[in-house]
Amino acid sequence: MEVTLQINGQKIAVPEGTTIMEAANRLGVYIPHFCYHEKLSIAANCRMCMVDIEKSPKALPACATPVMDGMVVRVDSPKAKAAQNSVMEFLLINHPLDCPICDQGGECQLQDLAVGYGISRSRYQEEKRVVFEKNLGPLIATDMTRCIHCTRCVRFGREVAGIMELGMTGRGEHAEIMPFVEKTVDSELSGNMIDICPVGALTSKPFRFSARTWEMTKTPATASHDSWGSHVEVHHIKDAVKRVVPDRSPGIYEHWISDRDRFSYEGLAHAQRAGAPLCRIKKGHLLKETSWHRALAETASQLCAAVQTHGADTVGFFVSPRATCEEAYLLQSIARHLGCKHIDSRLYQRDFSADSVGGVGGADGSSVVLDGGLDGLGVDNLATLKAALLVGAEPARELPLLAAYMRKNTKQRKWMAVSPLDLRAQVPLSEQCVAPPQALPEQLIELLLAAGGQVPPSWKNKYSLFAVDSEQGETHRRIIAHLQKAGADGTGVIWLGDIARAHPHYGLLVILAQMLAAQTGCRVGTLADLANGVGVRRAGAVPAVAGVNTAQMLAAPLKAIIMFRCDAEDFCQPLSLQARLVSANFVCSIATHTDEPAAQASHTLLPCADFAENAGTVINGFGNITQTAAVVAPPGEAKPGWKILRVLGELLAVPGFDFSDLTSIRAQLQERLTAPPTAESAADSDAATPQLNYKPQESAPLAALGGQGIYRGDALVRHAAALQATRQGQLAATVCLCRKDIQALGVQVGDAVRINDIEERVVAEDDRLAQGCVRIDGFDACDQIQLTAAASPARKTA
Amino acid sequence: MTDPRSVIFTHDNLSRIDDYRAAGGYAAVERVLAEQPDPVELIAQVKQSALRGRGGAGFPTGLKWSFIPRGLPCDIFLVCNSDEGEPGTFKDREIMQRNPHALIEGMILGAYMIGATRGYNYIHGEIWEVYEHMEQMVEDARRAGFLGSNILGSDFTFDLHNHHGYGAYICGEETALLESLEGKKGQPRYKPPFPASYGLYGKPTTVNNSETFACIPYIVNHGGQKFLELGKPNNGGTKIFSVSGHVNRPGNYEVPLGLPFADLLEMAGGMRAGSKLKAVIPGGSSVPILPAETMMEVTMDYDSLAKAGSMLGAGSVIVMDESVCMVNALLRLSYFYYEESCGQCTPCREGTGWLHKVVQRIEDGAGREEDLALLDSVASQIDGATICALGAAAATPVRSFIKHFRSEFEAHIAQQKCPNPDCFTAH
Repeated sequence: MEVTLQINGQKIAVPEGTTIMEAANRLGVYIPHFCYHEKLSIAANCRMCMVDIEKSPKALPACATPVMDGMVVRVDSPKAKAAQNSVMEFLLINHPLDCPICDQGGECQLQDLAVGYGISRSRYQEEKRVVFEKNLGPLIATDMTRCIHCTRCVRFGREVAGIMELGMTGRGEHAEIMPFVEKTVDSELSGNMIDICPVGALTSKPFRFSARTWEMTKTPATASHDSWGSHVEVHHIKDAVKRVVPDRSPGIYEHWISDRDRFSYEGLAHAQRAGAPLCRIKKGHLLKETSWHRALAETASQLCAAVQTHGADTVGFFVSPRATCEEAYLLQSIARHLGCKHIDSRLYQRDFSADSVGGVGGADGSSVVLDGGLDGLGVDNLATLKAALLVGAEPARELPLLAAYMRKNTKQRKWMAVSPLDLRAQVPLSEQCVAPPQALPEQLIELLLAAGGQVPPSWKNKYSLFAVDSEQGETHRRIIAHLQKAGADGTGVIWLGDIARAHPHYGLLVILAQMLAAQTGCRVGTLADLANGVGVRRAGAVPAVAGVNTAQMLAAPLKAIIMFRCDAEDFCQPLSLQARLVSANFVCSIATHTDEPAAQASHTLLPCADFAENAGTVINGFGNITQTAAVVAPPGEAKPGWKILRVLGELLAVPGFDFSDLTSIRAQLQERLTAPPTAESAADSDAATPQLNYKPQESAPLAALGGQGIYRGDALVRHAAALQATRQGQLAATVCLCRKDIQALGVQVGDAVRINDIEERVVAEDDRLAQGCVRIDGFDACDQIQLTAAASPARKTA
Repeated sequence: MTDPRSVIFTHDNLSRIDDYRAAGGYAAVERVLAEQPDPVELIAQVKQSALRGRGGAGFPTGLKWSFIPRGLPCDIFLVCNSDEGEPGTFKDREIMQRNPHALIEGMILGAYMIGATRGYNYIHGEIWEVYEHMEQMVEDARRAGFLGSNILGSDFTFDLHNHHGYGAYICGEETALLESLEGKKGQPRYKPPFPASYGLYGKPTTVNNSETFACIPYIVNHGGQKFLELGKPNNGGTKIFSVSGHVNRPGNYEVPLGLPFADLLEMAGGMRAGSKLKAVIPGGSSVPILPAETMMEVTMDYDSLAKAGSMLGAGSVIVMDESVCMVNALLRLSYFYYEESCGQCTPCREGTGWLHKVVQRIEDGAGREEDLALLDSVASQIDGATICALGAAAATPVRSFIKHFRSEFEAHIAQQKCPNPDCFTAH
């Protein structure tokens, strides 16, 4: 039902239940406010939005007062003004009036509104309140004396981040915003608290005091760490990126970005950033600075030599899924020109058996799995989802904003998971089966049988190791019921995450997921895919017919390796890659940082541009194609990847490589990019019976869980100091186990253990993990892990 | 000792359930559950009795109960507010000590009328022994079959739980009380929605004062009219006045509403030897103070005190004689509100501290000429701008003290000290 009211003399009709604030926003009438935030619950505690309502004896807060038919509201009447001015006076009595030394100065809601509603002299002459600082971790700096107790940060934590890490303690004038004792703010969305703080109480620790808002140029860009593709605004002074904030233009989900997208820019100016081409004259020599001319000529001649001496089949190309479509396209053109079929961008995957099965294989970008992404669901379509089954996924780590979406939208929706770790703390799940990674295929087979599906006869008796108990059987039946209900009207999806992707039997998981999808009417999508996984694959950075994929390349004796914007930790088998790098005759690394294994092992290192320095096309998980612009210039002599590849291509005499700009490259690959993912499910195809290439190991000691640490996914975040200093970042130096496994090992949290006799790390407890698995960054996922108590005296974690 | 004119303090002590029953207790519950009258008719009786909320606001109880929606397929809660924490109040604790079963019976009857299945009695945190006592009383009532499932064999189910707070004054505000009951920080909620539609755990809830509930058995037993006749029109029944200050016999006095203040003062033994009445805060610290000459004219009921420019409040009569320094008295009160503001909304969080600091300055002999205007202005900026009534409650004493005793404040500022030689803080 609509009601009509008047605000400042303007008439507007709005639905019943709308607040005066919302109605005024629609009219474009500004009502001053602090605690009100359109994406958070109503608190009505700042009292700044008091308005004059006819027939009401007192001024009332616009944010919390619902409209009524015939209401006459004045925002600027003497009564309203008096109320607003008086609140402003109260807010300022204890707030420091030292805007020139406050980091928020110039972009402060209180400062702005004080101009309009404050008086130039304070009537308050008593001592001001002083509040001690709080340690909220390496991302958020505090100036708690400036806090005006609007509780936006508290509500953000509870309502969006899904975890209450800040609260207001104390009463009256002694009320303070603080974290739990000895705790910091560790949510993966915590940086948003900085944005929503209307004063300078919470500011960005890495950014503070390094620039003023009016000094910076603000340029839109696309975040580059997950397939959500958040729209951000890069704030920079000349070529120095100062900070990254969310772009509030309509069309992106909410106002939030993840900490990973916000603070990763620190890696751009890292001391180890590659700023000049490096070359190693001979094997065993040091990498030395050289000219672009020499570095490129050396690379071209070494590549030619490798092809001529050992054959094109001994050259392998690895492309980061963060590369732009243009870069991937150029690189695959070079590879194919050399006659080389070995190119892949699916670095965090080790089992490609699904590629060979009808409907899920081929390099034409036609299959769901190869095309990847969230199954072509635009943000608008996401809203129609009624059920989702997460398989081997951890949304808060892979796609923090998807986790926020799932937390916010639970009404009439069923979020479910089959996972090696308990996800309930990050997503409100209606059903969950926790099982060690080895047991993921069993779980899906059981689900398939519960859905009335058939497994191929050749599979019989091949699985049975991880018996599913009756309680889980009940859960399976409920999961299937929810999937079938949603599948009936096309609103169900099965999402494979990167724990599944790194699984030794990922192909089987894909096939099972597709069979399950066919049985229930749901779709299949993949979750974590970095910024442009879909795009680089569509551009051609996948093995051609008879080409070999990442896993096969890692197993083959490659003579020459080209690493494009990727390094060891981007792979789910980093140790295998490092072995390959050592045995190769020639490694060329087109890289952003010089201190990682592949860069260190390279014979030529070509410094290239990264986020905000690189223009190009990216496709996010929803299939949205975005052009990003270069906001700043890369450091030193570093060049955008496409320029490096263009010259390299010319040196290798690749025909048609005389591009003068990105537009001409884009024109060539445009057709590939828009190739719609034609989902074809395995069950429809009789072309081949999927082979069960699956041998569960009887006595698997501990399985390394797949999935990179939240701040380990690419070189840029790995070099972002503040992110690495967070609690999540610090986990990279640990081995995480559940309490029972720690006890079984006979060690304690904080003790050092030796991993597979390779290196020592400190034991940390993560009780979300299923028994029998271990989370270690930088080790090959799902390999058998042998932990032994370290000989050295026990160390304690900080 | 029995007192036939009383409703609540009829006997010295009715804590033993047998004594209470011997005095006619729980008869109302037994009759109602046997006869199962229409709850709407019972509420009509409460309306007719003109029983008004005894916690301070004086809202008609029957009307409040009729707001609870009927026939909803959800729980309805009944909450007793025994969180008396305002300076001058001490009646609820005596009710719980001397006649706890009247409160319990009143809650059972109230639950029957509004359709509640569960009740909570929120007891002030600083009276632990009363909480323990009430736990025993509720257990006695449960054992006697008046609480629990299918009470006395009827299909009526109601259970009651005591909950003790931790001494925050703000938890006496009904929505802060509900937040506290839910296990959250005690902070008032913005209204609307009111508890009648969105209360405890989001369910329809009614919150009443202990004294209000303790009156209900009488109304059900004797009818609303009888209760009304105890007092005067629109001010039905008796009221417990907690008389404190410079009287000879401070204490709780249950008297019919409409009794002249002079009579109440006499009941309390009159002013202490040799002292003269100066002023009275008639309803607890958050109602305006009245000077002696006005007080001696009023009768103790809601309407008469409202006409005189104050309020009956919770009936906490603070009597002050000529020895009281009004600046010092205001300092105590403003400190109380400064300490007890919950800090949620701006005017109260910032304003109560400001008021206190200015009064402190005057008391310390550092007052400025413009301070009285400043106090009045700050108080009026707080009043009406806050989420709950605490802001107004903090502003009231400031404005009324200055209004009635302006010359004393002016003298403090002019002489930069307390001019009253009797003032115990005089330099």
